Amino acid sequence: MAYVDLVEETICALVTAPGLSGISVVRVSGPRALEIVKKHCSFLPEAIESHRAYFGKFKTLKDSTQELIDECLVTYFAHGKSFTGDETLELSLHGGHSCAHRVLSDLQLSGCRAAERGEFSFRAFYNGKIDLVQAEAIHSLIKSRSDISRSQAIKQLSGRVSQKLNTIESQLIQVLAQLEASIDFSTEDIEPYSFEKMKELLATTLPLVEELVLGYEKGRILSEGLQVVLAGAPNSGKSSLYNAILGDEKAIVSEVAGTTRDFLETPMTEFSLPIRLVDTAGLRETNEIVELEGIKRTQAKLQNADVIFYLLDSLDPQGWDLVPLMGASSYIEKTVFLLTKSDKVLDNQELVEKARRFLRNHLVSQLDNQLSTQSASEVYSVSSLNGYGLQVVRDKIKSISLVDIHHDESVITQHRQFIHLNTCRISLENAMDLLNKTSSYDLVALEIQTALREIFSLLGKEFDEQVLDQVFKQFCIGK
Amino acid sequence: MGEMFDVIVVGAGHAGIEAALSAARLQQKVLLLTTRLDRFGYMSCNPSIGGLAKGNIVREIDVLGGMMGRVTDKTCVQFKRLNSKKGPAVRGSRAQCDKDLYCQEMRLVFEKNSNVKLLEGEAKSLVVKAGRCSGVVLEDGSVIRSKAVIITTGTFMRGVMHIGNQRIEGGRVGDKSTVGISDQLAENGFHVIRLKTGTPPRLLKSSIDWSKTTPQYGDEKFFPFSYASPSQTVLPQIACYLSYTNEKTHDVIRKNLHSSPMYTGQIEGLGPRYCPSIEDKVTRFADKANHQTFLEPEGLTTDSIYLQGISTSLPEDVQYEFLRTIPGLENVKLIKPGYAVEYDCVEPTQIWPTLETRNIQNLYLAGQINGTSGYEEAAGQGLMAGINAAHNVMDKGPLILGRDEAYIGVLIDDLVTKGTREPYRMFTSRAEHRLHLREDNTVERLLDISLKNNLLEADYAKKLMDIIGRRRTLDKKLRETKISPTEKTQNMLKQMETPLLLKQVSLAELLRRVEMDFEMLVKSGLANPESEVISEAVEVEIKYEGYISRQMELISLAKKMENMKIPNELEYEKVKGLSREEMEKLHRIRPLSIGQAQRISGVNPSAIQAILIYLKIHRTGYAN
Repeated sequence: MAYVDLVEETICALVTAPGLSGISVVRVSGPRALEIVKKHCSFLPEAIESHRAYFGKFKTLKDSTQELIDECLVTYFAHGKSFTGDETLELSLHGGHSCAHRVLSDLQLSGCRAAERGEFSFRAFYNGKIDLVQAEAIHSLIKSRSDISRSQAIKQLSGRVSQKLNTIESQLIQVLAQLEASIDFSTEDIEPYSFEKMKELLATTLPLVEELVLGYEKGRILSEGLQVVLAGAPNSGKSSLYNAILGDEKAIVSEVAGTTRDFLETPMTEFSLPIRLVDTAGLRETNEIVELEGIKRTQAKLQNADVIFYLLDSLDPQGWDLVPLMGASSYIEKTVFLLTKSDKVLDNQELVEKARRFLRNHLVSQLDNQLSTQSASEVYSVSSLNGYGLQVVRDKIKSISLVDIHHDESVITQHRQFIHLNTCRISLENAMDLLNKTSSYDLVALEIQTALREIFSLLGKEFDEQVLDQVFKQFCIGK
Repeated sequence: MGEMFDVIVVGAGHAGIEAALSAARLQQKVLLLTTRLDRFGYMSCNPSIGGLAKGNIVREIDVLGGMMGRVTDKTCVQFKRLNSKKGPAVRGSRAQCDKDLYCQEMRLVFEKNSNVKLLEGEAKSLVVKAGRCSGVVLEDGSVIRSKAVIITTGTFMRGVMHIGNQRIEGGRVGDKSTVGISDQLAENGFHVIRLKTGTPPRLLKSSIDWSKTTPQYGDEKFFPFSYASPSQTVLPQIACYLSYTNEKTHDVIRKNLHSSPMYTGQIEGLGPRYCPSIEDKVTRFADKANHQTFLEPEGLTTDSIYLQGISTSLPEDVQYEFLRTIPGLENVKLIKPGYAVEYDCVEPTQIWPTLETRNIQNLYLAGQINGTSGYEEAAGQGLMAGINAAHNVMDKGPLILGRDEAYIGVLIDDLVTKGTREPYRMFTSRAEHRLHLREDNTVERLLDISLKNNLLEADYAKKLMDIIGRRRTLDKKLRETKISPTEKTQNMLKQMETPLLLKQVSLAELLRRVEMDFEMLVKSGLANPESEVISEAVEVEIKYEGYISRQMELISLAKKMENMKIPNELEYEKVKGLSREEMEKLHRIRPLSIGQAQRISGVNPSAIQAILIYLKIHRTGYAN
């Protein structure tokens, strides 16, 4: 179906490269673009102007409380004046990809379809915005990227995900075969499953789908990288450490340096897993409004972090505080403490002991005795200047990334896969509902078929005669 | 014979009949050529018409002006509505008919039709010049000319029957096969494939001990296939009888498998999986202790009993041996043994959706020759071939039914886009828009098409328009009539065991409740009585509105794909970005639209995009 049902549908996608920037841009394009975005961005005015940006809050519609997701900057491009030629809106969101992911999911619930790779460019061509040479170049790009990357994405599914998907696929084929046999061969001497039996089988399928849907967040880590966050008081040495860890990749930093209260995010390639190193603004207890805003953002970073390096200035033990970490015990559990500027200290071991005592005393208010002792033992001295202790930091990142990779392989990593599975889940829930309430084989079959089609698209298979094959394999049918 | 015809139809089976009649209705001068003038629409196999999905096809044929439904109604000896409780979209009507009367009635239809000339004889070959067909050559070498030819020769092309190791040339017991046309098609570059089907033995009525079988009766209620038919059956209604095979039966079959031509390799053709022989059944489902079989009388006066479920090609003596192990058949006598038949058919991706062949212009194929199985599938194709041949002669555009409009559309699109490896039978599951392709809304789906193409007699057209009008009135009424939670209403609802009202609702909203139906509304006095012909369609549309509108959304999306036409002369080798396999397939099938191209297996989305880009650049006849 890809690329063709297009011209009428409104599509959306993340257009900034995952992990490369502090800001994520989500593009929505198509005849209903404005209508759909307005459902979430009520601040957009009636008389919206092309090429103008509007600032406000993106609200989720999932529940009546209208939970705030993020502030965003919406740029509007009228029909005929955008890259694609269709009405387009671009939503600039704050860095985190879980945020972009939620925005995309919300937009899809409101009527957008996830854009296929290259689809914006295709529309641009289709609407006469780019010429033949560009179009053919784009097409060859799409061809190589789309078909191949799709099959690669399928190949890249971990063994356990494939296993789960295969189970889901074969169970859905099984249930659908039972339904179709009951419908098309009702005069035959066969005994297809009762609704009860189908419910039993689906009750084992649905959790598998749900697991994969929920596992997507985890999968995102695998594909977009591990979030390593550096936090600590102002002047505790975060920026120096940031540059020191990055080593050769420092150049990238200098490009984005100068950001004051924002975050620096840089992907690191030296580990098997993409690592995103996040530098946060300095924190301290404050009443200043601007600072408070900074604390709030840093806390969001800490929440999304996979590991936090919390910096304590070796030269200023009096200034040690753990304010930002006190937001939740889960922050502390993923924190490693670093005593910075060790090159300026004579007895590092003594300072480490001092830090441990400090930490135990302060952490015990949040954690129980054993845990606070355990957390407090994760203290290391480092120097950005002479490289002392940096290997410990690298090893730590590596060990966590390894743990995360091997901890659970049964996750999907692509948004496209998530969308298929989520639609599959909704259809299965509807099917369960129908099995409970009606005796309409045709309606149940419609839902199961929808669910199965999603799994087939995810696996890159064509919906063909698989169900009939199963019917004939399983049932003795004949005149 | 120097007479010139518009259309010659070769064969008077279910496809040939509808082909000849539909062309004649469009004022064409038609010649119907058949080897046996006494067998018009003979049911070579089971004595039933309709069934799941097939019943829908018969109703579609009726609204498109065909005769199958009317003659079925007239000769029906048992009627059943299958799946009546399994959901609105999967109900299917099936009628068992008196085979002989069916032929007679059909013959009568032709005798009344002055546009069709009947001729007994065999077409030995086609007149083909410069890729165009312009007539047929008879056995005696005489030539009959026409502007178009429709071949509907069923299983008769190089037909060979197998009973044990016996091989008999012929497409059906008592009828010879045709040889010439198949070779000629192959010479003209057609890929001819070999298929196989089978039929069960016919038993002598008086030799059966009926007391050991269980009678099976039809439904009380009759839903005629045609709106032109009376609402009650004309003929007396009869029962079928149920019996079962057992281990003894299976032992005999297993012991004699070596003499079944299917297992000796004597038969090469591929048979349908949905219609296995009893040999297949006991082999593939060895753990099944018995198989059911229905003993179906082939008519009111005939002695012939059709043994549904036991198709076989074992030698006659083995057939006797195993049949006599079945309760009721201990002393059975056969009128005709079961047999398998192998025949040639044309790989159907070689024909256009109009059923005209790609290699030879003005030549149309319909029915089993296109690899299908079943009377209804044949008739549906015949009807469309007749219409399209007539349009061709009249220089009018083709009529192609959409997959969203009719099972006939699904059938033909599947054949010409995907081809088939086994005899193709229609199943409801083949229709992606099953919820829309129902029996109850055939008129809504197809009447406009029929009117636009003059497919109906004026009287019948008026009758169908009237039905639609009455349905609309009822629909409007149910949606507009509101009831309030008065004491009287609430009591009534309590009696109907449905939740009480919290606010005013329309009758339509009430009807949408799972436990409600139109009859309950009538009984409680909330709605006026209305005949089921009118109320059923309205009830289904209202009750399943949510699902139906979801289906309609998908349909409108699919329609857009179908409306993006691909010009016939498109040179796929010039389209950048197609793989060799894609190019080969597109070149061979020559899809008429982007929608059809998408359905060709192995053609990827990126290929579709490449075609779109190419078309956009060249803008040749590209609509949209």
